Formats: sequence, C-alpha cells, structure tokens
Amino acid sequence: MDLGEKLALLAASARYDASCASSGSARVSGTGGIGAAVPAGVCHSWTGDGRCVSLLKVLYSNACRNDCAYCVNRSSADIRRASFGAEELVSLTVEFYRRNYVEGLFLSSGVFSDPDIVMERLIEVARILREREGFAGYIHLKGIPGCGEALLRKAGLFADRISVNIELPTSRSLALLAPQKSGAEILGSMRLLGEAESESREDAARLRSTPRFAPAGQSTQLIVGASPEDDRCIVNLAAALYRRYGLRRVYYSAFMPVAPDPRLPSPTSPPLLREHRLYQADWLLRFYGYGADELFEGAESSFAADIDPKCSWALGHPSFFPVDACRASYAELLRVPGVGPAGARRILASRSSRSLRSEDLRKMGIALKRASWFLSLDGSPLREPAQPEVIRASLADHSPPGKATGRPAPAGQLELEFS
Amino acid sequence: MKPGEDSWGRGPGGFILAARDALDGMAGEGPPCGELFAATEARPSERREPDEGEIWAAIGRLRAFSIELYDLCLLSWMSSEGLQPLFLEVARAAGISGSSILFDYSRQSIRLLRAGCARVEREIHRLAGLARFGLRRDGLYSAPLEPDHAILPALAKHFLERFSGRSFALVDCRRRLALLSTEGELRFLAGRGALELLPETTASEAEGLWKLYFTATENPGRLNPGLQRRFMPERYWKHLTELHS
Repeated sequence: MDLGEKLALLAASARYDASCASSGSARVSGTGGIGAAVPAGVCHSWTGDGRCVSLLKVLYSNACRNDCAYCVNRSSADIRRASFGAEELVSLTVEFYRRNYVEGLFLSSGVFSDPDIVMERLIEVARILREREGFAGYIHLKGIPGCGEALLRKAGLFADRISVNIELPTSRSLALLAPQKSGAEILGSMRLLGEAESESREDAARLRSTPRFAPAGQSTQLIVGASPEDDRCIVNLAAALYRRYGLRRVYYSAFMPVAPDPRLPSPTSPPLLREHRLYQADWLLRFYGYGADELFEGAESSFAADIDPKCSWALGHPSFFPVDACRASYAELLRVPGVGPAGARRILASRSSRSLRSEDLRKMGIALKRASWFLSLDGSPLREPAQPEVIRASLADHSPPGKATGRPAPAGQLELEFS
Repeated sequence: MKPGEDSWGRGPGGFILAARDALDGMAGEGPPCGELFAATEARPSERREPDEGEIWAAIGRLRAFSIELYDLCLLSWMSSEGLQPLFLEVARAAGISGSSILFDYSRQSIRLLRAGCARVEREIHRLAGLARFGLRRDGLYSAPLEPDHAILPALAKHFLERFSGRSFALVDCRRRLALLSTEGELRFLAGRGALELLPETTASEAEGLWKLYFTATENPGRLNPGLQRRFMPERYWKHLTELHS
C-alpha cells in the first residue's frame, strides 16, 4: 500500500473523533526547529461536514484487538488494515505544517498489540518531532487505555494535549458494547493525567523552567445515542469529569451505525439535535456558571427538542426574572436567554457611563426577541407578562443542526453563544 | 485616502500621527457624521514625511492612553472600507471624554468602528489558517492571498514565528504587495517585485497527499456544506488547494 492509500485509509478511520482543537498551548521553536503553537489555535480548512481541520488527524494503525460494536475499526470488521511508520508520520506532519495545511498532529491508534507497545509507538513519533525536528507545533496524543503510568507521564512531556476516550457514559454500556474496555481503567488514566497536570503546574510555579505536562490539558469523547443513558446521566458525568479530573473539554459524538448489530439501535440519521443540546449544556457548565443539577430539576431527564437548555431553565424559574439590566450582576445577566457573555459585558461597560434604554440593548447585540421576556430596565419590565406557552413558542429554535440554515452545527470547535 | 494601499511604503506611521493629533485635539474638525465614509483630505500630520522618532513617540502616546485605541488605530488603517475618518472621529471624542467611551456600545460611532475593525481582525485570523504555501524551486515558501483588507503586516509576526527563521513570502495578488522574510529580515515589496514572489503552479507531492487527506477526513454521515461556506466563504477558495481537483 503506498503512502497516499495509507493516509486516506488511516484518516478515514480517525474521522469519528470529534476533537480537532489546537488551542491552549504556547510554544516557540529553537534554532533550526520549526513552528510555534498559538494559544488561540488556528483552523486551516473546513470539510463538507462543516467541521474544521486544524490537525493532521490519523490513526497510527487501524489494526485493533478490541471488538467495540460501535467502532469502524473493530476487530471483527472486514476492512483493509494498515499502519504508518514513525518516519512517514513525521515527514507528513512537517510537510503539511510548512505549507500551512495544519497546526500539528493528532495521533490515535487501534490497539494492535499490548497497550504499552502501542503507546510507545505514539510517543516515539512525538519524540522524534520534538527532539530531532525541533517541532513546536501542536501535538495531540491519544492515551491508550491500560498502558502503564510511566508511559502516560512520558507522553505528556511531548504532547500539548492527551485524551483518553470514555466512549460510553456507564460501565454497564461499556461491558455490553466494548467488552474489552474497562471503565475503571479509563477513569484511572484520566485521574493520573489530571494529577500529572496539576503537579506540573505546581512545579512550574516554583521553578519556571520545569517542562509543562500536556499544557493544553486532557479531553475526552463520548458517543451519544449508542446506549440507553439519558441526557441527565451524560451531563452529570461531564460535570464530574470537569470537576474531578480537570478535563478541558468533553466532546459528544452523535452515534452513526457503522455495521448492523443487535446490541445497537439503528437510527436512520445520527442524533445531531441531541448532540447539539449536549454541547449547549456543556457551554452552560463551563462558561455560564450553571451546575449540572440545575439543568434537570424536575422529572425531566432529557433536554427539550424545541428550546435550548438555557431557555428551559429560565421558563422553569419565573421568580428569578425579570433581571434588571441596570443593576444585575454579570452572573445574573448570563441567565437571561438572548444575553451571552459578550452582551453581558457590553451591558456592564455601557451602563457605567450612561443610563440604558431598551433601544441601547438592541444595538448592543442583545437578542431582544428572547431577552425582552426576562429583562427589566430600572424596575420596568421590557414586555408585558404572557402565558408560559406563549413565551415558550417565541423561544423555540426550529432549525435542527446539520441543516444549512446558517446556524452553527455542533462541531466540537464551535463557539456556541446563547444570544 | 486609502491608507492600506497608498501609504504602503511608509507603513501606518502617517495615520498614527493623525490619530495622535486627533486624540490630543490638534487636528482640525473632523468630517460631519454623514460624510464619515466619504473620501477625505489628508490631515495635517500626513502631509509631511513622518519622522521615525516622532512615530514611536505617537505610538507611546496612543498606547499609554489606551491599548484598545491603538489596536483600533491599526485595524482601521488596514481596513479597505474607509474606516479611517470614523476612527479619527472616535479618537477625537475619546481625547475629550476619556477612554471609557471606547466601550460604550450605545454610541453608533463605536458600534460601526468596532464592527468594521472586527471584520479586519476576523480576516487576519482566517487567513493565518487559509494561507497555502507552495515551495518554489529557489527554496522559498510562498503563499498567494487575496484578502478583503490590506492585512499582510498583521500576519508578519504569526508567520515569522511559524517559519522560525526560514524564508517565506506572503503575496497580496490584488493589491500587488508582498511581505518577504529572508534570514530573519522582513521586507515589504510593491508592484512587479511583489508578484515575482508568487509560487510556481506545478503541483507537489505534498499537495497531492493533502488533497487525499482532506477528502478522507470528511464525515459523509454529517454533510453540511452551508456550514462549510459560512466558516470558509467562497471568495477565499481560489487559493485553497484542497478544494481543487
């Protein structure tokens, strides 16, 4: 198999991993080296699915001992198998980088041998890039579950980000669909990565020259809709991962059947709207100050299809509103549907120099169609109260993601704003 | 005045002096609001050849007043939408009322200026990713660009770090301008000299592999070409090798 065929095969095998972020790291190369990692990350292209291409995202090998029902590379699948050599990957990364095609390398792999051996191969590619080529671009390495602690620690010295995929929300589902994987093992790797990261941060505070362990932190991905868990379960899990192991990102990937299997549902299209709602909830956890328990207070355990989770919360808490734009804190403003972080900051900045009128709010980019139900100005509500169902109908976002309506679909790298 | 084009040889120096004058209330009355986007006469500071020391002092003055104002100054200078008179108007108002007005989004001038500058900034960030370099026979990596705004200077730092001392060129084909970095030295070229830095058109092996990769990494189960165009408007496609068969 020539290099082109191998590249096409091992890129297609890796495309189900949603993460492509290249942000969160700052490096510069020394003399004779190449590249620099940019903290904000850079997108280099967008494929026809609307997702950004930031890294050369490939598998080292698509040969795999595991037989995970949802995976295109499962051991029982009848597909061509191939592996890269380390030098091939190094050369592809550097050539693509120089031409400004990518920010760096995202290297994952099927478990073609003992996890330690697979992990060593991935680390070796990153080591050559960093040490021999002086490569200061971005490297994302996949942690192979079950590999030794020392190897994960070593990987973090070369990589900007490491991720171990949790795959499914519960051990029960893992046992059913990915029998060779263990939830305890996956979480153990995450705990270790979290500890190594915070140790390195503490060391760096004492001695600045300490090499940083995976400066862009760790992320993970889970598949939505392959197993019966509800949104409440998934959101609680994500919140716990952020809190306990200091994850930077949880990626949600709508399940797409790759082969008929009696253990799996067979949807005609991937549950993109559900994935979208989970990303919205994830943003609420990370940027809007919501707790996971706040998003499901009643008997509901799945997000509504017609309105986003922030609107759901607002409709369920009429006593919190109206929020007064002239006096409310940043945190209170963020709870108003139609007001995002940028809008809330603008309200605070503008009201320090003049009194606000509703016309000003509109000019600041506040979506008054939604926000006017929930805001007041100096004690006067912007809008007469109405029946909850009337408000709900006006808050509905009817455009499901994935349709070309001009609204963003929920790829991992998108900025989601509730405005 | 089209600062991004006409004042290329001088860089933004003349405009920075005009900004300092506006801030300190030294320039004449600005154009009336209705004519903000009309072509305007050169301001007093721009009539003479700017002196380097004076420009540095003016940069210091603007930055000391507000980093935000200095950023808006450079972005307005690069804009091809005629933002410069509006910027000077805002600088004059900030000189009178203080830097907090730069954040007063209820003012129309601030909203228009910031929206215009945001378009320039977005294009800088976009083209940092969408520039496609070809390797010329003489060993130079060169990228052809056709940006809406005259943003080459804003890309210099990014690509200097990225190329770590290796030679590279960025060519603005439409404005016939180029930025060339050789052995750590940065030069700006205009006219034919700029266009001579364009890459050769013969396809390389790396380009072929990149096209294969780009096709394979797309997820056919989630096609959404509308979103692809939204992030990567078609006017930039001309130089994106992965989109040409």
